[in-house]
Amino acid sequence: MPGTRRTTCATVVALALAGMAASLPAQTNEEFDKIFPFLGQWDPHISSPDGQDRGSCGGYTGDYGEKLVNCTMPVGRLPLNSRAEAWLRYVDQLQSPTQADCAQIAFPAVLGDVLFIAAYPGRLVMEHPSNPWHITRTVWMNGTGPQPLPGELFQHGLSRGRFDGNDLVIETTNFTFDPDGIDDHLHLASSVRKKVTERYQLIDDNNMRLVITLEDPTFLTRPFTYAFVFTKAGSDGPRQGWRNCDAESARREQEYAYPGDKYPDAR
Amino acid sequence: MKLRFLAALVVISAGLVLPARAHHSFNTFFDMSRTIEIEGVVTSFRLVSPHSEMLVDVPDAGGKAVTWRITARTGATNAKREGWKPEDFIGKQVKVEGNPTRRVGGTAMAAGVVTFVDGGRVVCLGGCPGGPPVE
Repeated sequence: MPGTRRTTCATVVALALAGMAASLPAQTNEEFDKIFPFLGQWDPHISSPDGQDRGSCGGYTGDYGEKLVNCTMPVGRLPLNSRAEAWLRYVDQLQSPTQADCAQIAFPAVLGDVLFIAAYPGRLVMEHPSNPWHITRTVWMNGTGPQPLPGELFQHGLSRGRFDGNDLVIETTNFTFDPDGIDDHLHLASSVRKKVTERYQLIDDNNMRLVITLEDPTFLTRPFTYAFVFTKAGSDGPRQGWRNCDAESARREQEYAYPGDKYPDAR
Repeated sequence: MKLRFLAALVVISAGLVLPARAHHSFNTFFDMSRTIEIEGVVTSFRLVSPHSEMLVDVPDAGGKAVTWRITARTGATNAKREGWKPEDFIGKQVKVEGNPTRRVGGTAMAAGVVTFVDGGRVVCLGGCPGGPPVE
């Protein structure tokens, strides 16, 4: 008799649970559904046979007349204003913080590398692994995240994201001044007025277009837009590494191997 | 057959190497169109990024040691993956083949291939077949 009572009880509980489940709405999360196809590792395939010198820098030359290479964007088409032209005449490789001091390269130049996207409610974590850096940033979605005070600046800025239809759009502002902030091989600076807008568009399950719009009225006459395509490289995390840049060694490379000597008294 | 399998594996592995944003352009610092060889004793080998760094004392015509700075064409992580250990290099007589600095009279190079004079062991520091990816 007690056994029968237990069975009846369990049946009642099971029926009640089944009834509750039927009355619950289907589990949907629009934010998750939208971001899901973007998750994983993406490869821009911007490379060259030996992994170096991915392209020219629009005919620009360096301190000893060398042809600059390995720029991350079509810098020959950048709408430079006269201040930017003056900067390029003034700048030299030996002061480059990315080369001499292990400073991380900036957005948008870093976007030409492998990209890993993970998501949490209200934010994305985007990783940009490359030697000798591994840059990780948080993209605050749909108005979440910190509200910086006026004048609060960050090397990689503050990134805010949203969906525009099915496009993932990220706007980044609040950058510090950066001597290599537009391109670290052209050595064109960016100002605190820099704004980078990334628009990620899925072409299909395995291909994604990234349209980048770069604004910086300090150095550019108008916004500059360029794009490239990523291919999905899987869902695993980025290849991990020991990302400890040795500034002393980096400086010695310049000291012993770079022949440019634009400012001999300041070597 | 085994050789063919290994060759295929190398090709596939090369294809999996992800492009790396280069710290600087090697060709700007080193003359990649020229190859030179030095021979001397390794005095230091640091597995660091952006590029591992080896010092080699090379005797000049008068027998005086001149220090050459060898920049590996890959960083610390790949060096570890390759199993390089500084103690395996330091104190050893080696030949180093690589691309010379563009600085006139400079004693530096990007390497390249290291051959141990005793034993003939060969290590690629990047930029040669079978070596770690260039960074």
